[in-house]
Amino acid sequence: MSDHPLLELRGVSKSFGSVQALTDVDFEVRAGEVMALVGDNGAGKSTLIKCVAGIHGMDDGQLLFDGSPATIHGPKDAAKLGIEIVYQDLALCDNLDVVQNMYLGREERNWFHRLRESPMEAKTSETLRSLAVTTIRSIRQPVATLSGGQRQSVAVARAVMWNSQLVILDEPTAALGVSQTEQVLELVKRLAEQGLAVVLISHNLHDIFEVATRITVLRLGRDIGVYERATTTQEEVVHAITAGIPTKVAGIAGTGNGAPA
Amino acid sequence: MRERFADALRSQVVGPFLIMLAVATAMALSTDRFLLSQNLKNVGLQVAIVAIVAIGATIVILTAQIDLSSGSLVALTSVLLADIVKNAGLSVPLAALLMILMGAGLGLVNGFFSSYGRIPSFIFTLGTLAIFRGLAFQQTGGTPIFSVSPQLDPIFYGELGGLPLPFVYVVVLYALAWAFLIYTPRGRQIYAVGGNESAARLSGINVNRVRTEAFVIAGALSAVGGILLTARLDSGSPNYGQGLELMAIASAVIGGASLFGGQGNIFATLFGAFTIVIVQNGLNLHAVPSAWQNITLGAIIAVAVGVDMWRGEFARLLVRLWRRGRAAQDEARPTTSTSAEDDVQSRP
Ligand SMILES: Nc1ncnc2c1ncn2[C@@H]1O[C@H](COP(=O)(O)OP(=O)(O)O)[C@@H](O)[C@H]1O
Ligand SMILES: [Mg+2]
Repeated sequence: MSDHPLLELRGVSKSFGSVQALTDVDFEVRAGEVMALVGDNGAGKSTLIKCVAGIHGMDDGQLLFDGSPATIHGPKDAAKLGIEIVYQDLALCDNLDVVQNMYLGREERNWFHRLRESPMEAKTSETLRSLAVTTIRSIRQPVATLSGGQRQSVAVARAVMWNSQLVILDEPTAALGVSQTEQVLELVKRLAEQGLAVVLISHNLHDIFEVATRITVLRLGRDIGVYERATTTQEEVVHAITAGIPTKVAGIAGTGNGAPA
Repeated sequence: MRERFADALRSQVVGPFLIMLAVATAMALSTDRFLLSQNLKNVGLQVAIVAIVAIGATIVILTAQIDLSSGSLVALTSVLLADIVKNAGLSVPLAALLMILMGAGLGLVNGFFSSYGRIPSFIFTLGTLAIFRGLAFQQTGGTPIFSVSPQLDPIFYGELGGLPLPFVYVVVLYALAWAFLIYTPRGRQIYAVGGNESAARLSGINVNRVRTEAFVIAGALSAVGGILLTARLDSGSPNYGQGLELMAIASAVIGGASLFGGQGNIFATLFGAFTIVIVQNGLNLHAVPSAWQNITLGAIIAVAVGVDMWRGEFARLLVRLWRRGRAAQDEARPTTSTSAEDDVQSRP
């Protein structure tokens, strides 16, 4: 694992009207590690990664990629930097098939702008196979006919297909059964072993402690701190999630003055 | 695998084709005059304009928008074309080209305000429906322009290799639309935008732009429709194209396009257009008064949209049954693979 962050956020704030979703949040992830991002519902996890993707503009704060300041105005910019995101609200088109979803928005084409189906089919099959996704019968099957686990597999496969440097997964296991969750977690570990930076959002501590290298805790839109998996305990993290006090504003009670969850 | 995809496409076309066949059979059985070659030729000529405008309607509907202004744009094109040819003396090809550009431009206006401007297209194009026809009346003071130019006649009544030109236009334009929708990235993105707008956006697709382009295409095709109508009647009139937008939309919906977007097949739209025109023709042959023709058209649209709604329910039911069947199958077959249980919702 490298010792400088691949992605670093400094002092990120974001509000939606009167809702202060993020306040002065610092966050980082290094290549080769799984950084877990945990927090209660409404803590601001999804908002934080949507700021990374450029879907939400940050009100305040800085984003550094590989040490240098970067501005990301949308999914295309993020993809250009090698950042891929699997969104919580599954970003798949039900009316399109697996291949079409895998290549959505960046379809392979020839000089005449004609779609090149064969390479897309081959790469899709190869990626699914490399991730041990074996239950999908046909990659030409509309996504509407897939089960929740299969859809999640497609979403994850799509994120890793692009030689990305950083993969962010927002609650990828929330809707999955036990064995599919294990598969996704295995996959997450494998990505980090291959040298990718992985951000895993979850509020399942069991999952987190199984795969994470470090854990960032968000509470009421503030970051409570970063915990090394090897030296922390579930109790400590649970306490941080439910009652943690932001270290940056030590002395101010964490409860009562944050944004309503 | 590609075969399977082709199968799926074909199956989308079979239903509308059978509907068309059923309607045609009913007409043939109910009146001898339907199958007269002169009448069939009439149907063919009549269907061309509806079918061409319906391409645009389908593409817009695929992006989950609607264009109600196409009939009015046909009228506006028609009077402007007649005017600049007859009164300003422009050559017909140049004038026609200008009209297509104008159609695309007005489509751009429709698309821009309904996507970037965030005005629902249903409302905005209802506005331009009134505006375009108003402009058409304004242009001529309400009177048609007759005997425009002898150059116009061959555009509609000419032949290419023994085939009537309207037939050629339809074949060429449908082939182009099909290639665009099925074989180009943009075509696929049109389906994606209609299927799941936010997924498309998160995938980096410029949703507003895709929608705007759909309206531009629709505008250009409405102008083509207007040119053909003007050539057919050698006259321009602000009254042309009344209700044509409904016929075009009905063609798409009878062809199985979903008004929710993301579902539809361009060839199925062609059969939808035939169905509409055959019904209209049949009603004419039976001397049904035009009020009743309108009522019939309205009823057909209502039923087609109803079927669109029920089809969603029906499809969901099928998927559920199919999955249940599969689950039962997987249970019955003892397996060592753990991956079979992926619907289980049992996280602690
Ligand atoms: N698009 C939005 N508009 C308004 N409020 C939002 C929006 N997205 C998130 N929020 C609010 O921001 C807060 C953080 O939400 P979110 O980031 O989704 O939390 P988490 O993913 O940690 O459960 C919540 O109070 C939520 O209601
Ligand atoms: Mg969330």
